[in-house]
Amino acid sequence: MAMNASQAPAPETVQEEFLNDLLQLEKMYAHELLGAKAERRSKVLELINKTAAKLHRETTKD
Amino acid sequence: MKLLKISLHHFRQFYGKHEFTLATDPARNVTLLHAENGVGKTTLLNAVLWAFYGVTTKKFEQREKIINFEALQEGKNLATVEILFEHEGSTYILQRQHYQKSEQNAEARVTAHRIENGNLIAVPAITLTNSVVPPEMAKYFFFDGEHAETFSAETNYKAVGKAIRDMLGCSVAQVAIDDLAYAIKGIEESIGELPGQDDLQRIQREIGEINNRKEDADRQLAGLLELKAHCNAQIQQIDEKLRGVAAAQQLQKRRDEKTQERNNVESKRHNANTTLARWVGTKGILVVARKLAKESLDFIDEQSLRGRIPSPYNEDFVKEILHAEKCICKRDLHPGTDEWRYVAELLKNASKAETLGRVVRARSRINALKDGWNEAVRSLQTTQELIAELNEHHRRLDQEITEIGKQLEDAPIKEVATWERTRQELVRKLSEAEIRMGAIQLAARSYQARIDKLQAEFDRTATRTNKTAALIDKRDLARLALNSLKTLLGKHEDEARKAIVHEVNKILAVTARREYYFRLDDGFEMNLYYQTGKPVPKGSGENQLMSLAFIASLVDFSRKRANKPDGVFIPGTIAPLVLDSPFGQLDARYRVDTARFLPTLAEQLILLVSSSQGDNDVLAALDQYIGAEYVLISENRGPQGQKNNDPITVRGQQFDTSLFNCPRNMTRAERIL
Repeated sequence: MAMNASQAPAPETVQEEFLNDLLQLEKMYAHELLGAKAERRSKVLELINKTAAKLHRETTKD
Repeated sequence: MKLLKISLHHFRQFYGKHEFTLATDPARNVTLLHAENGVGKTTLLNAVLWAFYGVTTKKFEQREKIINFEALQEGKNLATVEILFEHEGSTYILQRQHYQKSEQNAEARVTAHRIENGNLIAVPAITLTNSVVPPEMAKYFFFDGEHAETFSAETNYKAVGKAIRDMLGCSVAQVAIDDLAYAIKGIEESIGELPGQDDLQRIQREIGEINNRKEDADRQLAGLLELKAHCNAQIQQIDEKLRGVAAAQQLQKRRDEKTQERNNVESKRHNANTTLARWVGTKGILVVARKLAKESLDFIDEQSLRGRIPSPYNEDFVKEILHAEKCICKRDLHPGTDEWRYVAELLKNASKAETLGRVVRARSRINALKDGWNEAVRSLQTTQELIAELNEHHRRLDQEITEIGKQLEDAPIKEVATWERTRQELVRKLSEAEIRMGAIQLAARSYQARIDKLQAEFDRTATRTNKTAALIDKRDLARLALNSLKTLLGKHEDEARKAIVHEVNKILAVTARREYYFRLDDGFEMNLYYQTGKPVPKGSGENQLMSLAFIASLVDFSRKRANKPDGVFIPGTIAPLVLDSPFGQLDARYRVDTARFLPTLAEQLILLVSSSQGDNDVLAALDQYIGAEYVLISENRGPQGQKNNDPITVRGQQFDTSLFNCPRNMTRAERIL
């Protein structure tokens, strides 16, 4: 369900969320002990794409 | 990480299977192993090192001979070390085997498994061991106290620094930084690959090439730093030797004094140069402004002389005449007449109170600039004179130090002359390294400046189409996160460094006899100094104490932080300390004090001591922390003859640690607690 403008998080919050999600992802891979570098990096890129799209939606609403 | 059990099978002196169950109770976290020299203390330490990393300590005799001789003679060709341990809530079993195929041909195998509901799940052994205790840190955790001089040869600061950061829990944030940097690079490449973005590809290539050169410069700098540390450590050792020889003592003392004086001069010169640099920033403007100020004053004065500044007509006065429509000579001034227009024309150049005020203020400010300039010139002269004086002082001290070196080189004692020649060669290498470092640092700075410029050019050149804008947004998001993480890491490291330095100095204040201070620099290089600022020679008992205090403080820091997870840093490595003869170079008082602080700072402590080190006072200091205790007994096939049984008394019980007329030569362990 799409959020309206008043529910939309501020860009700073989106960036903070991004940092949290990124660290969660990194921790998950650190504990897996798999050393799956390529897979981890592709997940990081996915997260960047997802967050950038979210940020774009928020800024275009403004 | 907590060690639960160490099992040895045909490993070195240990024929057959031997198990050591280790103390894990936080209140009684010490496992104490008593063994006389040559019985197996160092073997046990090396068993742990070998299982984790496949290496043994440098001084371990016949390092390649892993299998027990008796077993080998009986045709058994497999030696195994198995370690059961807990790490971050999981239990693991690590096994390393040495398979002797023939006399010349051996093979090593290492496996690791996580134990889950009674099942063994294979995990990559090297990744596991590296994450538990980074190999660069192994020698601090698995510490061979009989060879503490290994600390004097410490040169791998970069690797140790990285390992310490890992232990501080920075690894996840560091990997995130690397991943973000990788993503940024990929996004920028994607921008360059978009149609019509040829220029961007060129800029990227250029950035890549300069980055390579910068990385190369960084590598060279790290190498030179290590070379410098190595030379300095050797110079310190030679100086220590010269201080101990009567023929060189006086000269070395003078050199120490002169060197100290030269260091002071260098420090003063550095301050003076900083003042000079600051002068350019703060006072340089006054010099530039001087000409401008002079010209402005001349202009104001010239205009004043001409009667234009201030103007002879006051604005209010002219307005009053026009309003009254009467001149001061009493003639009428009717609006629209030539006379009225002539008077009204005066308003253009008529002065206002505000204009007058501005002129006065401008004159006062210009005069202040002139005064400032005079002061600036005076302070510049003073600083330049001071630098010249310090340069001259430095040159004189250099000469005197060189002269002392020559005298030592000509000393009648051959040894002194040889040491001095080696020292001079090291000083020459140091000086060369410093010159090269200066040049490389300059180059590295220019590379960085060029990269910044190209990066800005990249952003300008990227055509703002929807596609590029979207990619640039992604890159900026990643860059923002990367910078935030870098800042957080810097703060965390700084906090850790301060806490560790504080803790080590606290331990030294209680334990060390003299006044020392411990320093940990930005690269995590550790050094111990006397209060006079002179470094304590590496390899001394104090340095050993420092190393123990350092590692215990590091572990303590990690342990305390593990209870306060902050989202960014993972709980750092909390590894056990396995210390072989940790009191080796310490005297009786240091031993007792060290025995008191070690169990309180480490989560788990395994101490391997001989009777000469583990005397009654040490044992009394440790007693309340001991959770498991073993005695290693040497069994010998041969007859006793004149040999001693090497009895030791532990907990009121006497143990003969050397037995004779036994079935084979081997070591066995007896658990006593």
